[in-house]
Amino acid sequence: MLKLNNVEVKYVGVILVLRGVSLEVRDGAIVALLGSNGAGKTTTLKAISGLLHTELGEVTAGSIEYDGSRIDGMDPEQIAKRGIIQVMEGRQVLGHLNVEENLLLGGYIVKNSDIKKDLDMVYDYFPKLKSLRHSTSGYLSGGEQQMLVMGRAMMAHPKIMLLDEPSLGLAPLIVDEIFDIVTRFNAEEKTSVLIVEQNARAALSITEYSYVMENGRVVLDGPSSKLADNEDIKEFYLGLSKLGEKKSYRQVKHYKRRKRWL
Amino acid sequence: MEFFGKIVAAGLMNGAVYGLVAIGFVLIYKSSSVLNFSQGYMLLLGGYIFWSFRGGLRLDLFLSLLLTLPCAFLMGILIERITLRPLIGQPLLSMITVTIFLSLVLEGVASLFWGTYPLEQITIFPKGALKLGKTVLTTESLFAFGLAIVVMMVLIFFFRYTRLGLSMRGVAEGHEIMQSMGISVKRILTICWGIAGVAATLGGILLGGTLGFQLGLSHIGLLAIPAAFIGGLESPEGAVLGGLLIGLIESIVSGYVGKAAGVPASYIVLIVVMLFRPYGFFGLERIERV
Amino acid sequence: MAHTSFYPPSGIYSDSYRKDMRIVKTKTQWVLSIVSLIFLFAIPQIPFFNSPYLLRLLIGVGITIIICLGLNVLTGYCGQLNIGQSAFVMVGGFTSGLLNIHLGWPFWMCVIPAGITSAVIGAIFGIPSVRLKGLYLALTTLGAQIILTWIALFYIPLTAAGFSVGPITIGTLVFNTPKKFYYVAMFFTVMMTFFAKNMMRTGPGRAFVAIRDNDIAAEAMGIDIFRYKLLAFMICTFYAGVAGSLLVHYMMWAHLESFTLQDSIWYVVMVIVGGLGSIEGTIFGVIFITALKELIFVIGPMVEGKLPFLPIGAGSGLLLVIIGGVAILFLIFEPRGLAHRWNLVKAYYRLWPFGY
Repeated sequence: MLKLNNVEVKYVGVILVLRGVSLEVRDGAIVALLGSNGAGKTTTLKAISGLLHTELGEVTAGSIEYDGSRIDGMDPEQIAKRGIIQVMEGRQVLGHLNVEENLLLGGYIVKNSDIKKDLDMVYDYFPKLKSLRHSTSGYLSGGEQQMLVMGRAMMAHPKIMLLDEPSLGLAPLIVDEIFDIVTRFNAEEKTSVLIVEQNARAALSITEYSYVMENGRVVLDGPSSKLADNEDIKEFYLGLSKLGEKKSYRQVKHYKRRKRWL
Repeated sequence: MEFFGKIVAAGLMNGAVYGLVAIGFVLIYKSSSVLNFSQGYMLLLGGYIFWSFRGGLRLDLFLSLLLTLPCAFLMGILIERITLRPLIGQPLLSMITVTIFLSLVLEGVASLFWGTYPLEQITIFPKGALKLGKTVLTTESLFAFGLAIVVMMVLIFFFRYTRLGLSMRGVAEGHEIMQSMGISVKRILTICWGIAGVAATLGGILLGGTLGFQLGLSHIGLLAIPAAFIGGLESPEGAVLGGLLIGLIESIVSGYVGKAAGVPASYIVLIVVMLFRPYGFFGLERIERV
Repeated sequence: MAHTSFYPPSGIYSDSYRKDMRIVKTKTQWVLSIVSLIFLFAIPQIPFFNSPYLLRLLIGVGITIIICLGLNVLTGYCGQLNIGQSAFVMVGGFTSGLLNIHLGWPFWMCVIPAGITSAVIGAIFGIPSVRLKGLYLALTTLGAQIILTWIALFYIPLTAAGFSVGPITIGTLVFNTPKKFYYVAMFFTVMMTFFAKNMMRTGPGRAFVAIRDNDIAAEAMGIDIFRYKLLAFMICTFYAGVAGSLLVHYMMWAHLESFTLQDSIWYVVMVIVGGLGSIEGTIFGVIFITALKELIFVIGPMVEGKLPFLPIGAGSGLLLVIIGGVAILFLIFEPRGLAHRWNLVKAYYRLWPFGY
């Protein structure tokens, strides 16, 4: 179980980005972290995976615990070796390497594993990658690259996968496909998933529990089905009005609904 | 024609050594974008260390090699640890400048412990001659050529097909990505410097064996830079071909224009190549897509 | 708060852009600058200070400051590396010397052509590399060092052997002793320092900094990177040329030996130790490294005498190890150089007693 207690993060010692974030990811759960731009979602993931250090960020207060031991302050390599693998935002493939080499590097930290079997597992989830295995990854399409980075993370047999905006800039059909694969992977490999999303509708539909962040704080949390019914969520993240219909300009109110948590 | 054949042969021999040293240069550039100006001085120091075992202590050839190579690896690792590791996060300019200063220190260390005069000549490879048509090749340079080629093949195989080699190529693509996968970038950079140290030292031994162990070796070691650039700074295979090309150019120019013209001519070629093929002949094309 | 009218707030506050851009900002600075200038030019007349040894050292420092100022404009402002600066000093020196002995031009007519020749040759080496993003200038300047030295050694008979050059004259006044030449050297040093200091207030100066900090963003702002990088490099080599001209007329002898790759690296060391992008820093750096060098020249032979097991030439090795080591330590622990320390001292003085 991954647990964040009142985590506070500062960049360069002065810029306060997270102001006390607490959240929990149970073993085998899929949890969503929603919020608008600059809310601190990516920073939360980087705080967990330790990649914060490479950007001069630091956890200045609170603690991050994984299976009972604290992992904040550890190097990203050590954290990854404990089974927490982050899939970074923006489809970060190793551009000049081909698809299979990317995948092999994903499995680099797994000791004594059957690489062949792992590759087959990834190709089973993403059949398209198999046909592309020898192409240079930098030239793949956006959706293919997203599949590749997720497959690369799967190679490490993570206990927790941190997914940062997998839907960014992808066509809706591909988004659905990717989310289906996430649910399948979660069910079959018992990997917990913490998923950061702007696409709240998609995220709420596959997760069991969700957190909403704003200005470096968690402002709302609850079971996803419940959050999906929440008026505020509907208004601000799902773009729906009360009746569950698409808003029409005829019905636009002259006052703005206020976010209740601010 | 006889003269030409001799020159070409000599050029290829030296070129193989330049290629070997250039691989070390490429390795460091690839993994950390640092142009390592101390490569020629690593070569000098490595050659001197070998000389101490072979010429100073009069050890057996293989024993001296066996002792030198770990020292060379250690030299690379120490350089990375002491000078480059603390600069992580600083601009690239500082990292490149530090290699320039390093060249002062390494040359200083060499003259502090071995003096500024050329060291006593030692034979490394059996002397002899081989006739190839009208061209006479010394077995000495043939051995150097063969060894350089073999080592280069081993290194290229290593990058292509081993886990560590693959992760080195990965580090060249992006440090953060590698860290997110649990691969220690620092460890790999250290190993890269170690291998660069070994490549430079082998180059130093081979060049020292034919040209004598003297401070001027560092200047010849600097030829690895044009070799690496012409090949394309990111490609070990390119470095090999660049090395052979630079060896040929150096040898032909020294033969026909004047002995001292070889090194300058190589740099003129570097500048011309920069003008027309800025990423060398085998450099990786930049993948620019959004 | 009643006292504020009696005590102006500590520190310097500029309430207009003009004021912020001034070089000399306070009255104290004016007084100090003028006093130190007077002191600088009075040194040859002050007993004890005017020993030939010290004067020679100071002339050397002055000329080196000019060389390093050029380098600092390139490296500190524009973020490019030049490891062939002494080759361009050589170009300036030989141009000036050849003009002097072949055409009989006096120094005052040679110095500008020397700078310009140096800048033009600099441009030839600069063009291939400055159009690339990255630090490739370091490669071509290394090439320049090797190629130019080779040309001077094999293709120009006069420069290969070295030749004598006439001293600097004004009317009947001949500047042929250190005591006299000192004034010329300091005049040029002060002038070139002022030009360099002023450069930051000009449009190109700001363009250089923009390129250093982010070349892609600078390009997006409409700065022609190629032009400004080349300009910075030409300014750098122009400074080298002027210094070279001074150097040969001072020594009255032009010879290749003073222009080696190692000298070029010394200059980079001085700039880094002094502080990138700082004019005061350059001056401190040159003085610091020159002093260190002199010290080692004294200590080196002593060490060599004490430790007989060391080989011949160990003294020069020691010099390289110490200077290189100092430079590396500065890069790691004080990347902003001596200039940063100086600024801290100044700020402490200005803000006292409210230094928080």
